[in-house]
Amino acid sequence: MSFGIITRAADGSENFRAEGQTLRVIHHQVIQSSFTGDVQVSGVTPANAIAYCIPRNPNPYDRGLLTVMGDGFVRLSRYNNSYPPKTNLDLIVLAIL
Amino acid sequence: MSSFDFVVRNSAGQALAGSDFLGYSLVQEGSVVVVDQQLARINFSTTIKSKAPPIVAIQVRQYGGAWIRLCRVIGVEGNWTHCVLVGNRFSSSEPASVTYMYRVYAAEARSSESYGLRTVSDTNIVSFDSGFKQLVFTSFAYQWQGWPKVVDGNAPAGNNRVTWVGYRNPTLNVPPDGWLALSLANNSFTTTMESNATGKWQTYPMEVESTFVYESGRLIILFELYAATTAINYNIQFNTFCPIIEN
Repeated sequence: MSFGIITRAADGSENFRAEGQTLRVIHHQVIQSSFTGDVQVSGVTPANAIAYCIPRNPNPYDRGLLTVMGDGFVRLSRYNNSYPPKTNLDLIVLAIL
Repeated sequence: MSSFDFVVRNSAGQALAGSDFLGYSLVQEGSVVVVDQQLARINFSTTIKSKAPPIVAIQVRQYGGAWIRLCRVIGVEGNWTHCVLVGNRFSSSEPASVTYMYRVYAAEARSSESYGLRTVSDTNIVSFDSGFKQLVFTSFAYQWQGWPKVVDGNAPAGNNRVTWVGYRNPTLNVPPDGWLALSLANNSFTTTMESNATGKWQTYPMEVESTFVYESGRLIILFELYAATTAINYNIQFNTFCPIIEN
């Protein structure tokens, strides 16, 4: 790189340079496990964003919601109606900007 | 983003850092032993107080025949405490226990003690600190192709029958020192499938778990499908965007 910014740690190792890409949180919403449908998130596509759900339940085996990124939205769906009711999940959308 | 402030962009004009740009920085790294079908845990040395969950990345070098099928951050907004992982090996001839290198990136930078460059947002959050390695990726897996790896599991019919389905990225070459942001993957979810095992087509619930595999420089997603009978008609949708961290 001929110009730009580079930062280094005290030991001289490189921590950052203005190359590559990074992710930024552009949407964070708490939803309930019964939620299905589309969440509108402007500017996202399957090529520049990723969405995922984390159940707010300490049981690590609890299933999350299926998230699929579309153009400008995230589609959420779940089939199993026996999932604990009123469980909250964090919906996170990260994107390259 | 405000019209004036400190912003760093790459050659494509994409923002990489800035005073109101809440990106991710490295807050913890180490090693963890992951055993097949058992729960392993990475405790965060300090509770991560960001609103969004941290990202946990695993170095692909240790993959091969031993994989991780679950990588989940535990906690709530402002109080993320640890990450859990479950190992998964495809056959008993592969190692039952593997030591993986991991990294934890948090969405709110901390202040380092050293001198350098630090930016603070208008909400008084440290958005960039040169004392911490920033999450930057140089490639990502996006296009996946079906891979001829469909194997019906050995579980008896009618009792959580397991089918394996694989997709691979045919063009992306992932270096063994690369890091995979595993906690972002859609690890497990419930969907439906169809089967006529009873002589009549019926819709059944199907549990899906995804496992990332690294084989000869290529990234593979392997899905385990759990259903009461052999899955026949199904449509698995999953996160297709998978960043590879190389710095």
